[in-house]
Amino acid sequence: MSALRVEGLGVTIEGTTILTDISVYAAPGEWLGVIGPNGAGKSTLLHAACGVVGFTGQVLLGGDPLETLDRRACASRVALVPQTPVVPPGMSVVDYVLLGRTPHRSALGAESHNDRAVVVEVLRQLDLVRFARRLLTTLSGGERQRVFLARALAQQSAVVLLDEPTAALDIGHQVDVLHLVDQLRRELGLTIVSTLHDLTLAGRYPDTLVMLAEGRVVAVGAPREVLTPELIERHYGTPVRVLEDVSGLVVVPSRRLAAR
Amino acid sequence: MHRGVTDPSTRTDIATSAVDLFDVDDLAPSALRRSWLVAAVLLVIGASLLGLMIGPVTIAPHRVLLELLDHLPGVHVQSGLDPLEANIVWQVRAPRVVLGLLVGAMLAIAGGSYQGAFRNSLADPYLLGAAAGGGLGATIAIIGGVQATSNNSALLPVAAFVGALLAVALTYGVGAAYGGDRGPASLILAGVAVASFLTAVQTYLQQRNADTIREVYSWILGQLGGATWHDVIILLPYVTITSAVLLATRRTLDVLSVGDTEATTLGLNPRRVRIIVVIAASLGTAAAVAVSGLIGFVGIIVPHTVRLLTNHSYRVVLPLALLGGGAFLVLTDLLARTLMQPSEIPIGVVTAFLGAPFFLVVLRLSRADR
Repeated sequence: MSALRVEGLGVTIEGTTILTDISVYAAPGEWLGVIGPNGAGKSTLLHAACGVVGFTGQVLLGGDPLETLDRRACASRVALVPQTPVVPPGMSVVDYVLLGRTPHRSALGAESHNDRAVVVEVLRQLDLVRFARRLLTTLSGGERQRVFLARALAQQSAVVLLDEPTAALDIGHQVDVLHLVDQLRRELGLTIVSTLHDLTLAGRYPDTLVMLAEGRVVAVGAPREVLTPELIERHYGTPVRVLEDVSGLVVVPSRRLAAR
Repeated sequence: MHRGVTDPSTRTDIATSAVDLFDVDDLAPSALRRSWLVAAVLLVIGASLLGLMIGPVTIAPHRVLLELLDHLPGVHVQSGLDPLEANIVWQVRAPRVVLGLLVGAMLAIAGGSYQGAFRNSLADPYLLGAAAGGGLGATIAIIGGVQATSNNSALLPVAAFVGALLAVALTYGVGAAYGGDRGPASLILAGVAVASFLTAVQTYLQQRNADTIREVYSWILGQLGGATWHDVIILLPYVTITSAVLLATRRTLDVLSVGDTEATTLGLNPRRVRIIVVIAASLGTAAAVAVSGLIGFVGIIVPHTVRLLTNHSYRVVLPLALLGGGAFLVLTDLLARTLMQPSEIPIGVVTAFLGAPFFLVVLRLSRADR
């Protein structure tokens, strides 16, 4: 059974069709990377998969159609780390991570002992204990990204959706975050679905890649099958070379010739 | 060492040592500390005692204290107050202090809740047109022959209450009809539009009925003078019930601080929370406006002061705003009735004097947060 299955998904927002007939799935413990040029509908796919935008077709979480789950049941099966999460002023790291326990506590009730234990465990796992009392607004980009991830982990959902988890990070922190996600996925058996702009990183971490263009799936498969110069040039509109080194594929853009 | 990610073999050790180095209490989420609560309760008691002891008629403070002690169950002391003085304490000052506590508490907790529901640090109880609606209701009543000082004065709060509620309903209707799913901003803009319209209608009516203008103004500027136990009894159930509802949403408001989309992915229904908060806060505000007139800025000054002194979490802000708001209004009322003795300054003028500069500070702080 797949952890997340999307069948014949379509999304139209204010009369504009964003996604058409998308069918993809992610097996438990799998990392599915979503790539594609700007405006391809990558973020919208993630938003539909956790039910924050309306859609046609089907989204199945752990085999159950999303529309049969109430919000809290849905939130305990899938977590989203948006591309630019809201950073509430004056909120400490521990309070922020505790928000991840919302689907597990009653609507108006206080957090339980177990909720606190989960938060402490997540803070330890992500090496955030020393930041616990710090305000989120005082952390660096890389530290914040780990805190965002921590809130998603505190949700204890089987599926974690990451929208551009490395956006705005330097190359060292990009690798840090993806390495951490990979490690957590293996330790906790998480299913990861992430959008990624950097095609070289997309070739290294996900097991499977799906390429979207103009709201449709144009390729699905192992990174080697999807990251081809032909597909990339056709859909990103620029020639690239795809090289291979010991640790995987390297996508190198070719410099366009200056027009005379 | 590699930044951010620790090697799995050493992670546990590092985490454990970090826990040793940093107090485990640091891993507890924000909560209402007992010391804050005690300080707020002491502030309420202190403000209330001052309110009871000070007034245009000089009564020895220690006699007021003894008089209060005498009314405690099981305590019998001689206060030495004559019947007139005792009457001043119990029938003039006490209802005024209690009404100040209730109105201040209501306006402050409503302000804090609105700020959470709309994620707007400048939101306050008058945001959704409650004040303008209340003002219009009162104006219509006064023009229609209701006099604030006469026997039918009980109709004035009712008219203000109805006006405030209708205005909030209108704001909500307009916001929902034209704002669609565009979130809190559409509701705030609808509130501005409705308030402007109702204020214009009110001004027009005032101009047409210049003979009552003074009476309307004195109500609009807000006052706690002439408060009776009857006012207290009218207001008490509204404050109790709506405050209880707002306090119950305090954890949910923390979740809402990450925005509607993320709150939805955390299992919350943001629209439902907002409706509950708007109804409870508006109902409470309308009731407060109805008995006290328009007293502005309490909903901004008090919650923000609590945030500056303690914590931003609504589980801390709302309960402390409730207590602090009560104390604040009693102290402000004390200023209003003593600064220019024997005459009184309308309390709404005093809160506006304090509130307007405060508003600018909050505006500046909220810009710095972004």
